[in-house]
Amino acid sequence: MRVTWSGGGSLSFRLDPDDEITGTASDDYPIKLAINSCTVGGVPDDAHPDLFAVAAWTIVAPWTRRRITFDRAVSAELAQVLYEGWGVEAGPVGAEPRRPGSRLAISYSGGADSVAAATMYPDAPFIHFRRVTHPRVPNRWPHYRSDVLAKLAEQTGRELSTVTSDLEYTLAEPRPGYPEHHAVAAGALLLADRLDLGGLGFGYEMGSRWLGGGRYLWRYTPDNPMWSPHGRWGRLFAAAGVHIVLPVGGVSEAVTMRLALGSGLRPQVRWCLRGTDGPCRVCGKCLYKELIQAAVERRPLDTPIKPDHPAARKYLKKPPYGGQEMIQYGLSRVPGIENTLFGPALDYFDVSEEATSWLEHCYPPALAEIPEPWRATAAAFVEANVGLMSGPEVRRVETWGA
Amino acid sequence: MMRVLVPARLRKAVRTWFDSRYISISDHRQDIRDALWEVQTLRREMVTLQSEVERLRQARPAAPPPPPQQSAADKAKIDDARRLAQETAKALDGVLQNEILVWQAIDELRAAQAEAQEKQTAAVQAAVDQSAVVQAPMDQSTVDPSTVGQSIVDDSAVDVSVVAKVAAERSRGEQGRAEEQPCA
Repeated sequence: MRVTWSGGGSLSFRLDPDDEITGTASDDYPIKLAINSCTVGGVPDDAHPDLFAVAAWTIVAPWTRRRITFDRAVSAELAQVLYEGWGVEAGPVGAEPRRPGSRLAISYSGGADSVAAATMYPDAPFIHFRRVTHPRVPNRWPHYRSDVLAKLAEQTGRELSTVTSDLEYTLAEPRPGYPEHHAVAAGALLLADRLDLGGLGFGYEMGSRWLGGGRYLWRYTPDNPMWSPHGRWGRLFAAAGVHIVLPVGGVSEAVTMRLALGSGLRPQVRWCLRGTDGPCRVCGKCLYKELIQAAVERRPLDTPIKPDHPAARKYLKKPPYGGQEMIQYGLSRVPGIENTLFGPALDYFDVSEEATSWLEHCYPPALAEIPEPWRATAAAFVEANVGLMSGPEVRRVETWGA
Repeated sequence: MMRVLVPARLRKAVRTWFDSRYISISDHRQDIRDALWEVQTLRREMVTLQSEVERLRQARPAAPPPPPQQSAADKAKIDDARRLAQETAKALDGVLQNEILVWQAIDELRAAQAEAQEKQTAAVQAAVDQSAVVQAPMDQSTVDPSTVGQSIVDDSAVDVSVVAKVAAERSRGEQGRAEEQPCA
């Protein structure tokens, strides 16, 4: 793979003979390449070469087999991490490593999880990734209202950098999206020098970090390759002086929901990618989040979705489901759930409140993982607003899926 | 229990004092009547609202009647446009992917060519070095002339000079060609 950054944050990449247009993301999900160019806008042209390299790697990693050639020399340390993590030879080598900056920024999507992370650090600047269309790939997904989300981010009143990018269109299958989950940080990486960043906070919560959430399911993942600090991505970001920080990595989506809706950013919270004036209420994500919100607020489910709706169909089948711990949590706490479309799923779970109370506390190792400069703030916040898990609750996490 | 005789006047005074602290029975009755009236009013309102909801619910499906306005020809056209759009988008996906693969192949060929060229250049250099070695002693007239003659008519030396010329032309061609960007 040979990557070239040109002015205005344009990235183009060419495949070596070993490379392929099919690959897998770090979560083992099979993906296919659509086009070998994209742009990351709203970023400076003079970032450290290691930042350019990591930003490019978040986009080209799935397609690269043996070698990557950057258009500017990277540090030997970064090349070493790439070799150890992916078995890929990186070059040319010759730059001094980048020193971590002093600030933490929040990769802010506007969803409940990143809002909860933002609440922990009231002074942290936001970096918002805004999808824009690719000049060469037809946009068949106009229902994705990234403009609405960007506007909401502006209304938070926080220090905000909006990065515009079409990098998701480099993915042909399953559909536009991040080639690696870390590609959402491409713009943040390129801004790291300008904002003096030493860490980047993501809204990934316990399900994503410890319970194998997202596209792979149902197992305890202390060595999560994407989000653990000692995993290959964690080490790569650290080598570029931008540590991955998961402020809410130890709490469930029930807690992030409660924190987000109880925060000053409540009017701007939006997890739905489709709605304009409010959440659309009819997509799969709205249904999932409504279950969690209803459970947190202890009220009946309020959704127009009927059991024959495509978003509801998966809950008529057997588990596992994505975000299964939260489904179980919702089933055990929403009054009248047996009369909703989730009724059939009740048979598969222990829906007593005791069985799910561990999801209301923080898994302590998640706090220990937060880099030292930002750990105390997170720990104090968790102590004041959440509380730590007890021994048996910790075991629930560590035997998840076993 | 001990009973104590209390003067009637005092008893009355105490009773009046107590009574003054509580609402009278008639007031209570009035309150209850008012509450009942309130409940009945609300019930009537609920019934009205429910019938209103029912009416709106009935009215809603009737609201969007225009669809049958579409003629069969229009529908065919719309369907065709949709099919065409979808097929075009899908075909374009293939074109873009092929473009990546074509560039991959071009780069591979170029790399192979450059490698071959490098080898040839090295061979030319070797030949030149060799003749230099041979010629230098000749200038100094310290070498047997017959050996020098052999060297000049050496096959490989002739070959190499032709190859070097071709290679030089090729490299000029390469320089003349703009470096295409796949996305320019």
